[in-house]
Amino acid sequence: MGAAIGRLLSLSHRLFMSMPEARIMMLGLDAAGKTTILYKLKIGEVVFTIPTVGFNVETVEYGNIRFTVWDVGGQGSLRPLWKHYFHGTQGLIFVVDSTDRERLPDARDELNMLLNEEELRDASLLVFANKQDLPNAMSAAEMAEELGLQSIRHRRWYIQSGSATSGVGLYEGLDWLSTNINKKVA
Amino acid sequence: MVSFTVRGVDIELEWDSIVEFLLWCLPLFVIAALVRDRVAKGYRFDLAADAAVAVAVVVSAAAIVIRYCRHRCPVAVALVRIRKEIRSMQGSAQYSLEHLELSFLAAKMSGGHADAGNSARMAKLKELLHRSENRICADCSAPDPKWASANIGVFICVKCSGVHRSLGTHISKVSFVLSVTLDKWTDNEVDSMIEVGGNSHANAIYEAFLPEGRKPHPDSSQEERENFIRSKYELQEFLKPSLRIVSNQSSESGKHAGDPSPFDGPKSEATFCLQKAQTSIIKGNLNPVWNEELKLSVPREYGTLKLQVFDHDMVSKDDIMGEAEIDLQTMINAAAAFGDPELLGDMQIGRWLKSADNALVCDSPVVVAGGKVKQGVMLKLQHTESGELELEMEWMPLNM
Repeated sequence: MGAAIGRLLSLSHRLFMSMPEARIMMLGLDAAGKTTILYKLKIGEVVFTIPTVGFNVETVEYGNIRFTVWDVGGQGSLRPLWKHYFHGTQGLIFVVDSTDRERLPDARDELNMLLNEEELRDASLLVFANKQDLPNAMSAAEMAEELGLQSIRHRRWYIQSGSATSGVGLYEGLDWLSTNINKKVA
Repeated sequence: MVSFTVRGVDIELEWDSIVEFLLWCLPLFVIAALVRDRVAKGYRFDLAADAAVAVAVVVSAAAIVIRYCRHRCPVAVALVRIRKEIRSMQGSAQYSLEHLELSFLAAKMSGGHADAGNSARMAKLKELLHRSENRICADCSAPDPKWASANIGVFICVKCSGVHRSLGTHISKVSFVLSVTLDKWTDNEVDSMIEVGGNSHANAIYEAFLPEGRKPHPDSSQEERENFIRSKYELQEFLKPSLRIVSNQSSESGKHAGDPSPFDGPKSEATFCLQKAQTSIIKGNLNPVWNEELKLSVPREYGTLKLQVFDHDMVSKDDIMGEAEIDLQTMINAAAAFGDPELLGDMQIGRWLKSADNALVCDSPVVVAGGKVKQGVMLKLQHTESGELELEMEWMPLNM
C-alpha cells in the first residue's frame, strides 16, 4: 500500500508543482563553515561537521525558489576539482572565515580564480563573511576591501556578514540571491 | 499513526491527515465515477450535467492544489520529503562515481606537482606519520589517522579533526587542522610537527595528569569527544599543575616553581611596578616546587612583571640563577574585554604568543576556567644556561 500511495503522491506532485530552481555552488577555503551553513539552512540546526572530502548537496526551498546547494570540500588539493561542479551554476556563495586574517590572501586568490572561470561567467556572487559572532571578526567592509570585491566588473556581487551557527545573515544572503540570479523554471 | 517506507525513506503520517487528504480527493473520485458511468451508458451531450461536472472538477482540484502548495497538509509535506530524499540519494550515488574521479585527479595532481622540495617535505611528514605511536589518533585512539593539527603537532582522526577545527576561534586559532593527504604543507608546518615529535611526545605534555577514564574511544559520542578535546587543548586541564600567579586590580599573587640549578637552595622573586614579593627558600632541591602564592597589585600604568630565581647564600649576597619577564597586557586586556568571568563558560579568551623577543617556551593561553581568568606561563630563564619556570597567573578584579 505504501508504494502505491507513494506513486500516487509523486504523480500528483509532478502535476502540481513547478517552482523555479537555482543551482548554487558554495565554495571557500577549508574550515570556512560551508557545511555548517548548508545544514543550518537545510534543517535549521548546527550540526557537528567533519572536513568534507567530496561534497554535500541539499535542496533548500526559500522565497518560492528551490535552491540546489552544492557544498564542495575546501582542502588544498580538492580546490582544483571545484571546476567539475561549475556547469549550469547560477549562483556562487563564497564563504570566508572572518577571523582568519592570515589566510585571507589565499581566499582572495581562490576567489579570483573562480571569477575567471568561463563556466561561472553568468553566476552571481554572494560572499558570506562567516563567523561574525566571534570577537575578532573583520567587518564586511574590511573584507570586501581585502578580497578586492570593488574591482569586480560585469558581475552582480554582494557581501553578507553573518554567522552559520546563529543563522544570522543566512536568509538575507538567500534573499539577495533570489532576486539576483537568472531563474529558470524547472 | 501509520508508518511505511517509500524507496528507502521512512514516512510517518497521522491517520487524521490521511483521512483529510482523502476527503479532499473524494469529490474527484465521485466525479470520475460519474463520468465513467455516463460514458459507459453511451455518452450523450447534456449541457447542464457536463458543466456541473466540469465546475466540480475545477473547484475540487483547485482546493487540493491550494491546500497542497501551502504545505499545510502533512501528506503533501511527506511527499515533498520523499522527493528530496530521492534527490539526495541520487547525490550520494553520484558521490561514489565522482569520488573515484576525485581520487584519480588527486593522484594525477600530486604526480604533476612533484617539485623536489614538496615531495621531500611530504616524505618527512609521512615518515613521522608512519611511526607506530602515530598510527592511532592522539585524542580518541582511532586507527590510521590521516589528519593533523599542525600547530599542536598531533596526528588525529577525521572525527577529532572536526572538533579541532572548531576550537578556540575566540581570539586565535588553538588548532590548525591539515590533512596529510589532501593539503599542501609548508616547511614550517612540517617542521613544527617534527619538532613536537609525534603523538606520544605531545600527549606526555597535554595528558600529563589525565584522570582515568577521561579519554574517549574511537566510537565515543560526539559530545564526549568534544568535551575531552576542549579540556585537553583549550583549557589545558591535564597539564602539569605547578605554578600560579594570581593577580588583581590592585593585588596580584602567584606561586612559582622552577627548574634552575643547585646549591644552597633556590628561591624566586617577583618584581612588578616597584613591588617585590618572594617565595620561601627550598633547600637542596634542583627542581624546586614552591607552590606558593605571591600577591602583587596592578596599578593603572603597569609595566612588565619581572621574575628572578636566586640561589640563597648564607654568607654573601644571593646569586642570581636566571630571570624572565612577563608581559601582563594579554591577560589584563582579555580580562577587561570579556567582563565578569563568572558569567562566562570555560573558554580561551586570549593568547600570549611565543616570539623571539619574549621568554616563552610555548604560547601561553589566557583562559576562563571555573569563573576565573587564568594564564599558564612557561618561561625559559634568561641570562643563564638553562632552566625553565612554570607558573599560573590568576586575575581577580576587586571592583567590577
